[in-house]
Amino acid sequence: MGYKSDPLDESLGKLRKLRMSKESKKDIHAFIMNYYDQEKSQQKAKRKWIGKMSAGMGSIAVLLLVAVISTGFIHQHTLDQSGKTPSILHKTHIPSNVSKTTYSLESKATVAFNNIILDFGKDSLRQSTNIGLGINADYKSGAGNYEFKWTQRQWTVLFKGNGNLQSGRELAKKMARFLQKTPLPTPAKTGVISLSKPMSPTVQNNVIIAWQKGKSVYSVKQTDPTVQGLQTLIDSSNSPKTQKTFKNMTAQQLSDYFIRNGKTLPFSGTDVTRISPNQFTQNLTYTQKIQPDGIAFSPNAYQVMDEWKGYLNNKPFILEIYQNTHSKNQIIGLVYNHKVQVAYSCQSKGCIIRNFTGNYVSFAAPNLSGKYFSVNLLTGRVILSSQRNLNLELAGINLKDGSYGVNWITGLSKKYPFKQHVNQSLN
Amino acid sequence: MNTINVTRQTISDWFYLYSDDVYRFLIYRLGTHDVEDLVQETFIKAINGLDSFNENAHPKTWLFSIARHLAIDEIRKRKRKKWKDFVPFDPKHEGETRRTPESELILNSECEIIHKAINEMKPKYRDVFILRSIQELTIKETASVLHWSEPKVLSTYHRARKALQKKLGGVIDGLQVRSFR
Repeated sequence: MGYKSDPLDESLGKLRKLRMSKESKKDIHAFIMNYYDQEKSQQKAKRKWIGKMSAGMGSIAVLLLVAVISTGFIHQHTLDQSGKTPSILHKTHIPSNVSKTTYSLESKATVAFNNIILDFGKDSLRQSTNIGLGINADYKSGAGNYEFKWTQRQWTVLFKGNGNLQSGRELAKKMARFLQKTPLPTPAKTGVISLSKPMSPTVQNNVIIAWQKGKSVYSVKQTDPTVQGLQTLIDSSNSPKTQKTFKNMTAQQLSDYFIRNGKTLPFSGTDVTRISPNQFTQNLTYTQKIQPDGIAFSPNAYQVMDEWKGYLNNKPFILEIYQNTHSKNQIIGLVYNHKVQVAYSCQSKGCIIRNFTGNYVSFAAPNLSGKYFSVNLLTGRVILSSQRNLNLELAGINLKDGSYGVNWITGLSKKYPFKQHVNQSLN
Repeated sequence: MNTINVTRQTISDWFYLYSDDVYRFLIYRLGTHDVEDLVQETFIKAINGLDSFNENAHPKTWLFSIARHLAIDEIRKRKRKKWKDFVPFDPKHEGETRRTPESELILNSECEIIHKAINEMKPKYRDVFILRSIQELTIKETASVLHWSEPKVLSTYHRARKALQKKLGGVIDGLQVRSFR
């Protein structure tokens, strides 16, 4: 059996030659390797902690618990009530443990497992609503309460809370989206994630994650009796340590976050400082090629206009904006961990920093009809202005509202003006 | 589930072996050049989901499967963000893109026409056509990426080629549906 060659196949041969540029490949490779290393080190730390738990399935439960809590009611409280940065709870603040009950017969274990679902509520949920991702959730609502139940992958998700149906549906959607993105383990048969929001400040919250494996039923519960207790968890989760949970987010993930929540995540770096003009240094050298044209950098032809320093992943970075003394065009220079990562020409005479988010810095050239681009401070990879939507989202700008945002640099704990006050003759 | 010990080196090897394939797939699936972030996202998702990687699966088909889901999400997202297109923006101020000489190829003549025609195909035709004709996956591999049966891959691919042939009309002389001897 064989194929006759035809002109279409010949034309397709040309399409098969398409390759990524070497620079992009190098950048992405560096990013994913960095990501892999950090994931591994986090897993290692997690394993140490889980080792204290009696059951071997602890890691699964903790992962799920963190996922559910951060997406569920704690996430909602963070967004709606505290107004603070939503973040995933730090592991040391989760008062949970895995319990394992083994039965003489598998059928008995199944009954016990099913009872967990029955304990959630015996009422049948007769109505159905779409909560996104092609998931139809059964629900009922009334008297200021709502209940949702749906199946996502091999998990049954039960969710009960107080408020109007619309708010419950929004929360259910958020949970579904989060669970979809979170790499969930595959339970042997089925698992259940049950969440009950408090009906009053004195009623206990309950988050139960349970699964059955043969004759054993594993479960993990998290309770906190008061809203005050909950608030403490939220506050403690806002410590700089927990900011590490989103430090590895890709530009796409940061953008997704902005779309969902209407605000960007803060910068992952620490000790960020804007250097005053009399302390500017030049960190780019002759050997550096300016992207995208590949022209060599000439230190004598440029003057630093703005300079920042700080730490990302405990390694130092220096970010600089240079201006050509003749053409006035500006370039961005980045040094991470003492290595020059990129020199990028923003092809504009007025380039400003708009926002710091995750590992990215977002730039704008307002005099070029609102051109935006972003730079990954770890790798120096530039998200080109052609990816306008992505760049706008990283800048935290929602043009739907008819606004180009606030008049200061966002994403840091302190407000900075767009421009440094340097030699006026250059401006 | 059988899992293999995927090391740092394995990930690096996968990247160098398959990143171009993933890149190509995403370009033709989405009809745009700006897919580098999605290539990155594909590998990040692969790292996150290593526990679910079955040793019997081929890493390439697994990566394609992840990339395909990302492409579907991206298309949905773009539909939601259509309002942003109404914001005026002067294209002359766009920065240079890092296109390789090879990438320029698809902007030329018949390649561009085919690219456009692929982009206008039904999503399922586009999936199977890209995987079979451009990525040159076997029927079995394609079935694995798309979670289809092999006969479904065969028949859908046949229809996809016919649809493309119809769309292209007489643009490419002597265009025929690939046939078995």
